[in-house]
Amino acid sequence: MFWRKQKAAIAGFHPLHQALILERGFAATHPAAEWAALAASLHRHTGLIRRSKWALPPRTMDVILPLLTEICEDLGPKGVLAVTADLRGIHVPAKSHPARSIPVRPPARSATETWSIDPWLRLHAGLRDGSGLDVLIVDRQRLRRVTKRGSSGKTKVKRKTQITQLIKVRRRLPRGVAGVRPQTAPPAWIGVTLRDGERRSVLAAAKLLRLPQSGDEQLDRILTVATETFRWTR
Amino acid sequence: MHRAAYLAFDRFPSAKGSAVHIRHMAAELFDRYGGGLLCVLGGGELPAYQREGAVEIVRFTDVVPNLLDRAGAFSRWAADRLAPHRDTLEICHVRDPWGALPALSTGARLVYEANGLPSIELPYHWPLAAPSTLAKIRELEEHCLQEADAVVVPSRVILKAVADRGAEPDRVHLVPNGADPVPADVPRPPTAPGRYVIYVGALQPWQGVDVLLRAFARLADLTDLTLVVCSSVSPARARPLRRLAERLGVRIRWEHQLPHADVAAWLAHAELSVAPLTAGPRNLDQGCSPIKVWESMAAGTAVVASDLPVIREVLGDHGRLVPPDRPAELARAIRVLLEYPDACRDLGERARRHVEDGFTWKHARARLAGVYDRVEAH
Amino acid sequence: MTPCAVTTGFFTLGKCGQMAVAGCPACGRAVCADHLADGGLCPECAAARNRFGHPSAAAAARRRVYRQRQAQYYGDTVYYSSFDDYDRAAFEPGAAADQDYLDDGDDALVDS
Repeated sequence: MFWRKQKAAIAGFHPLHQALILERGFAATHPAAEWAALAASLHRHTGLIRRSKWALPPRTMDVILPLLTEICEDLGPKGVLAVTADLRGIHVPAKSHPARSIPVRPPARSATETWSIDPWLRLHAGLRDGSGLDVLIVDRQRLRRVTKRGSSGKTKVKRKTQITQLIKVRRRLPRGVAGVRPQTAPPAWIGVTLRDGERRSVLAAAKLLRLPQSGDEQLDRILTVATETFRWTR
Repeated sequence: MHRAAYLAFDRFPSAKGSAVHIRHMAAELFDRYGGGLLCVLGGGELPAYQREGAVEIVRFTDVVPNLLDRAGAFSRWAADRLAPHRDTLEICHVRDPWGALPALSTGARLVYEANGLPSIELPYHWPLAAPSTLAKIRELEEHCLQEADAVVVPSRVILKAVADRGAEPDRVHLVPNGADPVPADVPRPPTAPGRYVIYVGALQPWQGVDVLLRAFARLADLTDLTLVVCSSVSPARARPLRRLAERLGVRIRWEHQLPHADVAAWLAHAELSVAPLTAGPRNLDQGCSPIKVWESMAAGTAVVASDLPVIREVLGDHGRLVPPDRPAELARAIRVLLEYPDACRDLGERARRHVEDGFTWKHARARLAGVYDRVEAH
Repeated sequence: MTPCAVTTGFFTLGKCGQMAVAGCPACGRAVCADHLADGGLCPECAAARNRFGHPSAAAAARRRVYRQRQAQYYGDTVYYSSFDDYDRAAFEPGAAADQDYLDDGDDALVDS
């Protein structure tokens, strides 16, 4: 049959790697060693798979993999990392709310607005210092479709999209640790809130009005938001 | 709004040589830029804020017991002090990595004055510091030295140490320390003993004051001779050396934390000035430019000093060099010089002329001005 | 037993702590068998020499770049230096070479 060798190669990959190729996402909870096995499997991908249908989804190699590697450094021997990744992209019908018409004035005839929400990465890690780290990244897109009629009677349809990204990081401090407010404030684009309870949580959130243009920038933004939660303890 | 800032993790003013150094270097910087901001350590009676003409002096007064934490807190505090001047700041002059970090964050040009390197000097006071910690401090130094627009060093030995840490050779400039000439008719200090040999400076282990005390014990037969130690630190910190002096039965007179202006008179009327630096890594690898030697030369007093590259550079053949860490050799050199007062006076005169001809603070400031010229031109 | 003094972790820093088998020829810290990078160096020294063959050397290099950048974003100049409790312990007042130095605190990092 067709693609015999590449199909065989996929069968030899890590199950999560297979899920990324075939379902473009996965949800799993593993210790650091298992995530290292996934990384090793992903690194073999480019050498073995050439069919574009089976290419790794975007953000896999340049964002998710490095992020997992760094967080695994902090897991310790007993900690586990739970990851839910959905890399199908924002244009999947299931991620869009129904279109809503919005008021217009001439020359526009009608306009609709569609919100799409794509929580493409969610992870939870129990770190070796006893704290729990949660990361949630959501892309939100607003699509406006406007129908206009010119003076000659010609009808045009225009579309405008606006896409923003939310990065939320929560760190539940270890039991009995209060943390100290860092001496310098975080960058203005990061907001910080504290939530007291049985264990204190530090929440850092950022809303990016412009989507990061490269994997490096995306990773850098995520790590920067995460940094704030770690500055509260030494 | 200031155009220039000088940062030092060091108390200022104080009786130490470093304070003299800070005073002259900062004066050059602030004269040139029409005032500026001086961030230093406070403590004692010093006010936290002081304004002298166009110069603002702010002092870090938080009590932080751990030295690393204190250095870090100083760094953040300094960053806060610099922040309002961010837009106008053109140049920052720093003396250590903890001053350099906030200075780098302002984007102003950075002149790093490397009088010493914490990664070499800290273990003397903090013997428990792990090699890995010192490696981190060294990395910090390397980062700051590589980012600096100019590195100013007082001696060739330290120039080499700085080059080893990755500073570009064409950005490293030699600005030796100096001393102000002492007028020939400076009055004798009223409490001075008859004939005395003098040591001026701090009492850290690398200064070799213990070697000097042991050498002096061998000169017990010169009953009219006293050793004067002008310590820049408090009596409590001289305790181990005082105990040693008592045990050796040395005729010694301690003067603690004399104002810098009085030291010159003590130096000028001494028979000899001694700089018994030890041959440890601090002096051999890191280097220094001992102000005590410069000031003794300027006072026209013959100097007996350890034969180390750093001292040779300062003293040349205008003083008497002895092997370091050898009390017997040091005692013999002192005895010989005292036997020949004419040769001794001649040595002192030559040293004074040498300083006056090229190594007063005025000369040092002119050299520093040259460095600022080059930094501005880039 | 000498514990391995290699810094591990990314956000939370700590020492490896396994039994050391060698000392890094460049910086002298104790290194365990797992952390012995190219040329017998410790990961941080290997990274400083651009030898990223060992995974922990690559991790050390990434951590360094990350810390440096975060120190800039946060204006938190000290985040970069990343001293941990182990480093700090040696600089507690009681750890000074000479207890007599305590009373008027020798603040200076260097003397000139």
